[in-house]
Amino acid sequence: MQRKVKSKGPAYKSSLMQRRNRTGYVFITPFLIGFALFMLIPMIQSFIFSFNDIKIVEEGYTLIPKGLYNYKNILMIDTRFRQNIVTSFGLTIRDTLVVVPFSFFAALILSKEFKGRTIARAVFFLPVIVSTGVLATIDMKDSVMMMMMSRDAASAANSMQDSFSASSLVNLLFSGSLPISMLETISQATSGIYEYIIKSGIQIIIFIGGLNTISPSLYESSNIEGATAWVNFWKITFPMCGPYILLNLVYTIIDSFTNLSNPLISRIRNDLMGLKNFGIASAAAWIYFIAIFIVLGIVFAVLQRRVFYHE
Amino acid sequence: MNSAMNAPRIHNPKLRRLLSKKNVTRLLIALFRTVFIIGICFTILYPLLNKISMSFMDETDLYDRTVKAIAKNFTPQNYLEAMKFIDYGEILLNTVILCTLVSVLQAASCTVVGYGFARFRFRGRGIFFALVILCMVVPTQVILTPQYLNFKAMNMLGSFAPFVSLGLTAVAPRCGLYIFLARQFFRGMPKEIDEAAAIDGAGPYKTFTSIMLKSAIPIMVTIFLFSFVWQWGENTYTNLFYSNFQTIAKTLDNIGYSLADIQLGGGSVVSLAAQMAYQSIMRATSTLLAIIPLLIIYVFCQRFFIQSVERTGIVG
Repeated sequence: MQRKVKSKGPAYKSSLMQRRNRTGYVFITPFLIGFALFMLIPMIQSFIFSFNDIKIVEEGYTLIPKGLYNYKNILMIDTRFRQNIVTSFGLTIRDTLVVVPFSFFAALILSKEFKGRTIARAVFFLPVIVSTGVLATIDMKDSVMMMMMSRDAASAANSMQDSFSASSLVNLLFSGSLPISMLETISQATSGIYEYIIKSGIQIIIFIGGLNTISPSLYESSNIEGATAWVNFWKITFPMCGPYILLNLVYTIIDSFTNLSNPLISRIRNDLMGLKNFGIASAAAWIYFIAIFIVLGIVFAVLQRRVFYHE
Repeated sequence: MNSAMNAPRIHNPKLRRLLSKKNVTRLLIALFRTVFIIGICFTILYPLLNKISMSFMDETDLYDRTVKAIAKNFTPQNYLEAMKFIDYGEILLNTVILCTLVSVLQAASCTVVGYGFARFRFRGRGIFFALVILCMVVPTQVILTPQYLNFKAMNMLGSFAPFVSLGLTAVAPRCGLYIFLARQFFRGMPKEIDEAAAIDGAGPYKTFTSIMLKSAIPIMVTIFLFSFVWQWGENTYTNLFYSNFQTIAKTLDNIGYSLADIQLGGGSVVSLAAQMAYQSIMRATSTLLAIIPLLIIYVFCQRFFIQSVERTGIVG
């Protein structure tokens, strides 16, 4: 708000264009107000919380100063936190390495003309629609139940598994002709594929949008010069998609780091939802936030110079 | 090979070989593409089809070895039971109201803000846009607690007020992404539109309301769809800000526990497997009931959605 007022003052001579441009502030005002009230203030509060212990009382809350205790507790005493943070880094690296190439590949295929493309696209975007939030975890919970079932009621569950669990696909294809260890690997891989397809939805959309911005004339002229599809890909498609690859890397990293299946996030969330350990949870969230920021910073620093911007 | 032979005008054998090679590669690529697409589509659709087939089964079908996909005792009974069990009418209405409210507000606010970032070169634009990116990066866990406490202090809990205020000011979760999309969309529009409108005497607001908004329908539908769908499956915020408001997501999240309470068979000896089978059927049917409205919306909005995916070049 302050900035808006400032912009109306006669601080410098303004041309018609400058005056027009200043109306931009009006358009972004909702966001600025929202950011101040619902992002900036809560962030400052949460930072303060991380140095305190919070007691919820009738009229609100009281703070009990603890200094650096929360941070020390997490980093030095609590062994779980360090374990969790290593796990989440591992998960994020794995996710990023699988999701970004996969979604790029899928987008390449879906952006070409072929019969039934509309249907294929509609199906590919389906996970974005039906597998968000709680809906995505339902299946996971069910498969956990399946495992429990096969332990508890082995015989009955086995026959049931045939008809509907995730590994039935594998059973269907190989029907017992392969050794069990191999079957297990395959079934893990297949359930993993499903998981990754669900995670890649938005990235595929971003890549398709990106591929569509490449002007066809580039391909035309390179074809006239006699370039093969292989060369076209590495000299045109890949570099022109650079910004999108970077964007998707960042998006996937954030998505994976803040996913509910992430052990650290679910732990922080449980603390906050149970309305206990506010101070420690806030400190953990901040350490985590800073770690994410460092990772993103490194990714940006390494890739930003190599990415080609066509402007 | 054959197609190369069929092309009679090519006499140079070298060229002919090249062509045939090209054709073989093309054929292989087409084959590979088909297998890949069918494989992925199958993987995506399989759990869904599975649930559909299971939802029509009687529980005896589940542990009948001869039954695979098509139910022997075909019954719509599960749907009736699941509807009653999860109180479908009420939670559906609640969820639709909440999702529509939130996504209409977000589509409106994010479009306006995105327009501001895309079409005006004001001082500090880069910094303010960095704040949008910051909104995307900050884990919600960092700000969730203070937000909760603040809303509590303002007596806004247990109503739509937190959702309205977050949506109206474009800082609800994932709004950063929507602002980004809207900004990208408006950036792609020719500058001449503004100039022509200015010459005809339209101010920036008039230009926005009477020219830009009309062509922005695809991006608004996309934001609406994204936000609607996300809110549909969202549970954390609803739980914190409006805890006694029953939504589909909340019901589904707890369905494991509530199903475990059901006793089958009116006191007779029912095996654990039968109990489990019944629970699985109910779970599948309830999940389908939760997804069906989304599928219907997707069928209608799909065209807009893919259109705006095609148009939006999302460059960072």
